[in-house]
Amino acid sequence: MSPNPSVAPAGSETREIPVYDSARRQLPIITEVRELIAYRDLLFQMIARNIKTRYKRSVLGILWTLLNPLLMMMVLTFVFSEVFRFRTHHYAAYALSGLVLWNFFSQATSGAMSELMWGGSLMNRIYLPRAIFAATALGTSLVNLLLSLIPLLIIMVVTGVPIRGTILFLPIPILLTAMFALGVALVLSTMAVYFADVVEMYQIFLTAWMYFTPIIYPKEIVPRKLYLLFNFNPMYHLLEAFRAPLYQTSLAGPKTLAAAAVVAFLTLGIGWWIFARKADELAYRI
Amino acid sequence: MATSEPQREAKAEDERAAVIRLEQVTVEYRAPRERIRTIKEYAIRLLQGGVKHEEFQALRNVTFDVREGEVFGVIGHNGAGKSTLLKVISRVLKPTGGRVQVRGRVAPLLELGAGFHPELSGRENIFLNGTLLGFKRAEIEAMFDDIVDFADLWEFIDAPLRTYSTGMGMRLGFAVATAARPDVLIVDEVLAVGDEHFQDKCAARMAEFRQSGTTVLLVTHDVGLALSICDRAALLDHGALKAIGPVGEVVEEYHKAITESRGAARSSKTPAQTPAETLAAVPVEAEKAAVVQTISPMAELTPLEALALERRWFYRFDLPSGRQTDCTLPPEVAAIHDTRWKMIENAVADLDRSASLTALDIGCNQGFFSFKLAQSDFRHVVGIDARAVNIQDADLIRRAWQLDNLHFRHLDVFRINPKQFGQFDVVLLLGLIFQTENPIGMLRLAKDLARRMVIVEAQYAIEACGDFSWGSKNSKKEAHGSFAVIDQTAEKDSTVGGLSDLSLCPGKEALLWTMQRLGFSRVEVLPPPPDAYEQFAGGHRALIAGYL
Repeated sequence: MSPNPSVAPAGSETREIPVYDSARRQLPIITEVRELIAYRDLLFQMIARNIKTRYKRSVLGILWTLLNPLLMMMVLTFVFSEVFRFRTHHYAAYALSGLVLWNFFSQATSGAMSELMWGGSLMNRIYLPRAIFAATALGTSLVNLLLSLIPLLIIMVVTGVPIRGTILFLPIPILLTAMFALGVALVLSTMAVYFADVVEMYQIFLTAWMYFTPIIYPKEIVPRKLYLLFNFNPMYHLLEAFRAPLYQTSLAGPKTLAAAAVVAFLTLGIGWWIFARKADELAYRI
Repeated sequence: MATSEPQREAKAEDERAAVIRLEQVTVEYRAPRERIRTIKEYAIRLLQGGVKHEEFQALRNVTFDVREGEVFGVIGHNGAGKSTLLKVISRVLKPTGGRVQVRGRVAPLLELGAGFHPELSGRENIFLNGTLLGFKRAEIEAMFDDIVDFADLWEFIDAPLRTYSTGMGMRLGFAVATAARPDVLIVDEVLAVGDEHFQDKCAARMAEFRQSGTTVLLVTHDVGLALSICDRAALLDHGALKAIGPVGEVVEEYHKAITESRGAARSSKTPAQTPAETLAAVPVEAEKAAVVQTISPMAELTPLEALALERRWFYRFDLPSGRQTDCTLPPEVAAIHDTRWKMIENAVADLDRSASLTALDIGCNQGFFSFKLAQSDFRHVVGIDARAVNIQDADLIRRAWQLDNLHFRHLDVFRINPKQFGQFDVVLLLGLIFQTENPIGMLRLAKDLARRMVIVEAQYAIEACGDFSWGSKNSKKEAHGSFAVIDQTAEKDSTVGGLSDLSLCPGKEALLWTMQRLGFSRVEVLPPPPDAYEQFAGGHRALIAGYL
């Protein structure tokens, strides 16, 4: 073979030489963030892989993402407004907005565990930032969330829910929910590495949690005295903050926003701290 | 042995910078004594009085440096801690004690195509696999055309990976992994990727990396492979560093360890050992050797033996089943090998055997004499030859016999650095000295590589002795024999001739005088046996032993 001069564009002399030192003292919490940023291109590739492979071999392709919530919503609307006769104003938009956010949260958290299980063998063979699996799951479900906002908007237009400028505030509740989901995902995936049954237990817990949150039913049907309990459900605050600019065509009240923000920052902080502390141990365990 | 004197190792002459530095590296696994996989089990154990843990040290206080541009081997039997060491260096595991420093980008060639997804196209997988290996997207874009060129997959680059053959996938994986020159390359075996053409391309790329200063770390239990490509090596045993130094010496130490453990296994039945310890103490190689001993004469043909029997050889090799290989030489000429072996056997018989012997066979051809020595009581024999086909043949016989004290390397003797290669008790230089352009240089090398003796085979050329004019008509120089110029054009391309089309064949005087002059303490022409091949009997060819 003739010597190929173009073999090493990335290895050219100007590139700084990375130095790995296992004894370098740094807070694990910071190391993990830095590593994740350094591997951001991998993160995007992994998210793209998830999205592409999900739709590549299906005939309807990406349309499924749009159709799935529409069909789900139609069933719910029939059951709850015709059978149970909920008197909720614009029930279809109400239920769908709740479902969209809940799906985002549940996909991100359970996805983080399965990503780690899938990538565990990889992590045992080559170096990767450990948080990349949770981040990938979050990114994937974020893309799905953005896609399912399209059918949501269609339903709103069709059923005559007015769309106002407040919709521009949506990114804030979405960001807060993402932070909360990442925090939960990190704790869960740390636990899942040690205990295999965490995955199944979480699925059961998730179903219970969903019915404890006013997603498909209006919270008004719950007796007043139980309202207090909603305050202990983080997803309740996030959901309120998400729905307000959409469905109620008004901004969420400061109380709701503050509660959502506290929940989001606190959970992410604790989750990240636990994960970073255990990160070096994960490869030993997986 | 170098390990017994760590200070010597620390102030090695070599000034090259350390690329990998391990200081007191310890890896301790801490696992629950009983397997706890669920929260339920964990809760039950807690109630029963706590979870008991077991500690296991996969690496203990391992300290060594790997220098820039070196080909460094890590050897040891299964469970010695090699793969843990690899993980520590490639950052997968953080050591529980000590310090690891690695300067530069590490490319593990063990994980070709890590993260490849069957549903994605070749193009998409290049980006996925590339970012997984730590490249930036922009870097991969810049290298993309080179990668596909190298893998030769332009036609299929947009087809999903599940439609690729295994070979195509490997080619793509190799092309991505080696798209940019890494500072450290980790390999665990000779890469056999794709067809011969592609293997050549891989080899060329690896050679290019090495020339540009890439450090190669070979982690293997294949000692022959380590011998054939490494400069230095480290021997791991039960997680501890047992030896480090020139690869020849370390491999010697490895065989010594095996022999000792074999002896221990035979002589003592130690019931105190737990099953796990016993398992670790008996290396796989020892088990293999036990198998060899039980093979009876005219036993069934193994596939390797069948392969050897199908072919014609330059020598008549004994095979484990009792059969012999077919020899291309006419019987009266083939007798030369018998004479040579008889004389070598006699010459080495006088050596002191209080420590077991090692030998290096330079220009070993199909490895006949290396094989004979390895079958006698030599502990460790290495045969080298500049022709790859010869080494392949030699290896076939070695594998048929499953000899673990014999190794062959594809290597030109003039490429050897004796300081790094280590020394051998006996060095054989058979049928070579009259086939080279540089006979004196070859003798020097042989002497540097020998600890006890060098056996040189020569055919004597006619020669001139006496004084001749030197510088002026009043000044004379004495010729201590002479070398004859030989045309080797015909032999050059055979498997037995020299490498050049010209050679210098020494006369008897010239050879004996040169050897004495090079500093052998005693130079002796070995007496031919009564039934010697005619050339030996007639004094036209001889074996000469130089003692140190």
